[in-house]
Amino acid sequence: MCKLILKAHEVVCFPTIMSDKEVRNVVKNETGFSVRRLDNVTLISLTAVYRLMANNKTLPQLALYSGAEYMSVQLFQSVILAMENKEAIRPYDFIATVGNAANFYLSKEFNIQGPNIFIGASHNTLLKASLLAETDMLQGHCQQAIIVIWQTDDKERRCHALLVEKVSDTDAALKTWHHFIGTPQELSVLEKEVQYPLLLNLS
Amino acid sequence: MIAKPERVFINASTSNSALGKQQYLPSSMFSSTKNGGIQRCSAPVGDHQVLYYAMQEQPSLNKTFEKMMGLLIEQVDLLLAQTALTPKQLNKTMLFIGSTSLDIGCIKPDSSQAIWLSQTDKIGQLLAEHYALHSLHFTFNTACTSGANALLYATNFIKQGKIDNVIVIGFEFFNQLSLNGFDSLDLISKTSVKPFSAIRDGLILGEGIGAVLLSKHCTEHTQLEILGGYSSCDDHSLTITEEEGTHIVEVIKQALQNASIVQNDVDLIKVHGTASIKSDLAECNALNKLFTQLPKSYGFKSLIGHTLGACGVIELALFDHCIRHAYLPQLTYQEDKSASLLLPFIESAAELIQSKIMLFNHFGFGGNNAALIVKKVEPS
Repeated sequence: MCKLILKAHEVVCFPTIMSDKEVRNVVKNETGFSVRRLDNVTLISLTAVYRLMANNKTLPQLALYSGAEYMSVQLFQSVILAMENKEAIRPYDFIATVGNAANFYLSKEFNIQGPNIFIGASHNTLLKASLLAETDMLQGHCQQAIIVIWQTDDKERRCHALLVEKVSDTDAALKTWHHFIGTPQELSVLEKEVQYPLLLNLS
Repeated sequence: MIAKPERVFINASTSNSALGKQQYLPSSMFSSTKNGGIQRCSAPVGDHQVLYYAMQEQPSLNKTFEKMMGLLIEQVDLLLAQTALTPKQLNKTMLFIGSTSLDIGCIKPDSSQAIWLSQTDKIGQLLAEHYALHSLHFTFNTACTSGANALLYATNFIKQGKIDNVIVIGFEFFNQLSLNGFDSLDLISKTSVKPFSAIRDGLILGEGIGAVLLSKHCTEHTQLEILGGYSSCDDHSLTITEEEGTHIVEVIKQALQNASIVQNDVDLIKVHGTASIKSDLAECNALNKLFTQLPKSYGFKSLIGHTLGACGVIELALFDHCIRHAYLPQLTYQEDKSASLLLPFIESAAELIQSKIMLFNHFGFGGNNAALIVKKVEPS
């Protein structure tokens, strides 16, 4: 095991009543990215990681781990409905349904060259993503990782972007990082006023 | 002091695909349903039919959620029958799943709900509860590398001493979305799957389940171990890895390094080999760049189709099965000598069982490329 600290956290929320077109405009205005045809899952994560990267220094060998309780809801439900209605699936819509599509765009926009994993997770998502990150850090594949977690319900789409980093067991600063983020309140804790960095509890 | 990494053995394996059901039973040595070859059928897309490789003994391509769970439980039962894991050990055994489509084939629209998709880890949760496994389970969803990534991270969890045993399952069931989607991309062959043939003309999708038990201790029946691997994302294109194979080379080099193996030690390549024009070309270019003397290859997709996110686990389970029984399914498309091959392939079981270090390649949509290094366990 190695020790991981959470260095920074950003969360972006959009109400579900916002259309993809409206979300695209908001994201394009803030980030300047070419966002044509991207679904709202990708759009919201681009914004969250954009803010994270803008406010924090990252190391070159960066990894990406992401997780979600549901696949891209609006996209999947629209293609399933299209098939029910015997309508043809557009190639781009099909390609966008792959679980790691957002990871691809995040890697491309932010030049993330290290390991790159999307997991389906309804519980313990931060813990699971952190364990994958820790595994790759122990292998020497990265020293830092971005963790992206999507949440959605009938009112709101939410995306967390977190920057985690490996620290030495003997790091003197460990004594000052007395907060432990574990489950189950892991993400709700982060939305309160907290002081970073935080030590992640991987046990 | 740094602890020596654990070894990771494949102690049990089972699969259900167009080739039938394969499992290893120490008592009878061999169990396989073979009813005359590959189960090939077709399914409608719009106004035409598209070829598909179905699991055998399945009366219908479309399955209910209960039917899917039944098939998965059947495979895990067969897997666990090969092991001596106690309930206490099972409780400490993690479950790693790799699948692209999960249960999407049986989702029905429900206008009374805002969200009518299943939770992404619903199947993992149900299986973990059914077998009273470790409460922490992982569902990898990285397109066609899902199963390979599940194997890779399960391997590293064991190597790093996080856990002693992991059940890794790859599954893909027939679903109209995948069929329509691949058809819309014009990637499906209208005839047959001919990986690395000069006359290849596309892939055919397949369904299947593969399951393996990875453990830190081997048994007297263990044939293979996983030395390591690597995966990462090629941001060249969402649909195809860079055709010169540059990113694939990087991934394989990193996988070899993680496994403490050099190129010349590899004596067999289990190719990804979908038979799509560009994907095979990228893999071929990468292998030619990497190896001065190219080892021989073998691939399963002409036999079982492209099982997408499940292929990493199914093809490893089938490989384990072939090694255990010194058996090599013949790739009949290679009998047509006019269809020259871009890579040399093994042709006999003898060549298979002589192999000691194997490279397993898997590439997927979303740019995800993965490589695993597998070693034959020497008899002690």
